[in-house]
Amino acid sequence: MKAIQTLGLTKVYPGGRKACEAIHLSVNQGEIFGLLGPNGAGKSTLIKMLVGLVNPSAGSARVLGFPFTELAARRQLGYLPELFRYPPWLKAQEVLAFHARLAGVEQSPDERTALLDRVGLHGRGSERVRSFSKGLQQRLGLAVALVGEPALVLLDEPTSALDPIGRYEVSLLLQELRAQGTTVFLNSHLLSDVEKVCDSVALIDGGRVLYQGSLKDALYGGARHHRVQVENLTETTWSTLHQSYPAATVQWDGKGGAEISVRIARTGLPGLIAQLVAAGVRVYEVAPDHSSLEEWFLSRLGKDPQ
Amino acid sequence: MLTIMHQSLVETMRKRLLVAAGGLTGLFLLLFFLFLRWVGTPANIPGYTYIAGLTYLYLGLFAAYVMIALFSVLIFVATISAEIDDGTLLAVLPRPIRRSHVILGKWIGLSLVAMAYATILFFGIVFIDQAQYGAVAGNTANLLAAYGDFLLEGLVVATVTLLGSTLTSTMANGIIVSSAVLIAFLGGALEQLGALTNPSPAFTVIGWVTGLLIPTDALYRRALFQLLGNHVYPGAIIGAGPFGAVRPPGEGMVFYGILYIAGMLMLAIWSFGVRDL
Ligand SMILES: Nc1ncnc2c1ncn2[C@@H]1O[C@H](COP(=O)(O)OP(=O)(O)O)[C@@H](O)[C@H]1O
Ligand SMILES: [Mg+2]
Repeated sequence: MKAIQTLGLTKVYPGGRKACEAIHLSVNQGEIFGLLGPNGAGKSTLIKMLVGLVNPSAGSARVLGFPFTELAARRQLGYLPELFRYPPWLKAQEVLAFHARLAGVEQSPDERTALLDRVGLHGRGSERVRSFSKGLQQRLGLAVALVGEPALVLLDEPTSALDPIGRYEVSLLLQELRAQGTTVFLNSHLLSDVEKVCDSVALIDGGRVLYQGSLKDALYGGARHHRVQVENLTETTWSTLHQSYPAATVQWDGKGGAEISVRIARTGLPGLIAQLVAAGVRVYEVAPDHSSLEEWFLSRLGKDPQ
Repeated sequence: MLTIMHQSLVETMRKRLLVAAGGLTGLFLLLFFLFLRWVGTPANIPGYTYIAGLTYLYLGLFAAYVMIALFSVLIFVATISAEIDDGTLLAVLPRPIRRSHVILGKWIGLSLVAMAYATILFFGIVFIDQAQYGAVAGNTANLLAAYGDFLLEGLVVATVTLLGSTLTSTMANGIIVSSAVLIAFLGGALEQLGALTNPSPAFTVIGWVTGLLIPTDALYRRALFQLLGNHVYPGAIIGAGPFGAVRPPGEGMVFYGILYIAGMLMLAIWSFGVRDL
């Protein structure tokens, strides 16, 4: 069973804006899944369809094995909305108690305290939501999403209002959740968050999925520029090499060293290195040019940083 | 559903809305009481006690009519719309709870408050009046029938306002429902005026149309007739002119009121169900 499986989910808002277009995604149980995309890409709309806030125009989905329109799909689910507020006159622990009742789970005062501690709201249980800053509200939102130890947690921009410490704490929290076997579906435009914790990612823009796969593949898969630092590269070796990689370029530093720049898939690297080594070239370093998620993100969206 | 109902009750208390409205209503009843005390009863004019009792009862009931409508608009006006605007519902609806139950929970919870309010106001006025002037307002059956009409009036306004809050903004909703209640009152007044002065059927049609639009005024006039109709004191109701009930709506209006509430509630459930948040 997949934690989430969408089949062509589509949303056209009244007024004609297509926020999501035939989205097929699948999220494995127990993984941290990051949905990336620029503002207005349709990330929030997709999550809202999954939790029943937005009625899809077409398509369907299964959440935790149930058709997503059934209440059963939401029994084991925690959700942190992107923009939200809790009733300002409630105390933090009352918000948790209310959500526990809505979720139909028993919750002791000790569990509430533990939950607040977990999101960095230690000792603030009897303060009213009114007095919470945006960041504190977001922490409380995380605690609410974790009420009842759900099997699947959907977080829409969970760190947008948090300070760097808060972000770090959230990334630890997410790893803790993964260790417990909880599936996390995370929406973010803050790529560093995603880069730290996600197992899989999907990239959407304009309501379409541009990429779905493991974070490793996103970062290291596909053909990309690599810089290869070598010594002992002769003209003959280079011209042989150049026949196999016509787009490759080289720069000699005049002291016996050289840097080859070549566009190649990660899977082709061992072959290239073997070829160099066989020709007596000493390889010092092979570095992919696009090494951060941000660069990958920009290049995928057609905004190559170079 | 129970959770939502409970929460909306708690919310009403916390917002001090109930406290404020209850306080003002208490103040109104106190003033009404003091006023009747102060006006007093001239001892030696025959029948005067009766007329004074009916007049002040009528004034009090008119105030109740307006205040019940206002209160019902007030407590329901922000139900769904404000919670959509500030994002409160975003965290609630993804819980394993049906949207229809959210609507029903809020409707039941807040309707209880509205009915409690109508009850206190109605019996407060009747009893204060009777304490001063004796039993002037028909028998118990009439009293209960009138009470029922006032309850229905409050529920009609409450349910329409709930529907409005699923459809439009808090502000627009408040304006629209208040206007509808006012139009129904003007339509009802025209109908009574027509019944007194002009046999033209146009007046009756106006009353009918506005009564169908929102039966608050028709229910009020029916209640008035129960208490002040010819069976109680011949001619009393004519004295009230366009504010009276010379031509009282019949039993049918009660059934229409109940159907109206059920219909509006179903529309509210439907319109909230298809709404994107
Ligand atoms: N309720 C709505 N009505 C109409 N258009 C909407 C609504 N919500 C979002 N949109 C539009 O749908 C697109 C996707 O929005 P959203 O899902 O919020 O994107 P993201 O979360 O990726 O920033 C945007 O163009 C946005 O303007
Ligand atoms: Mg968003």
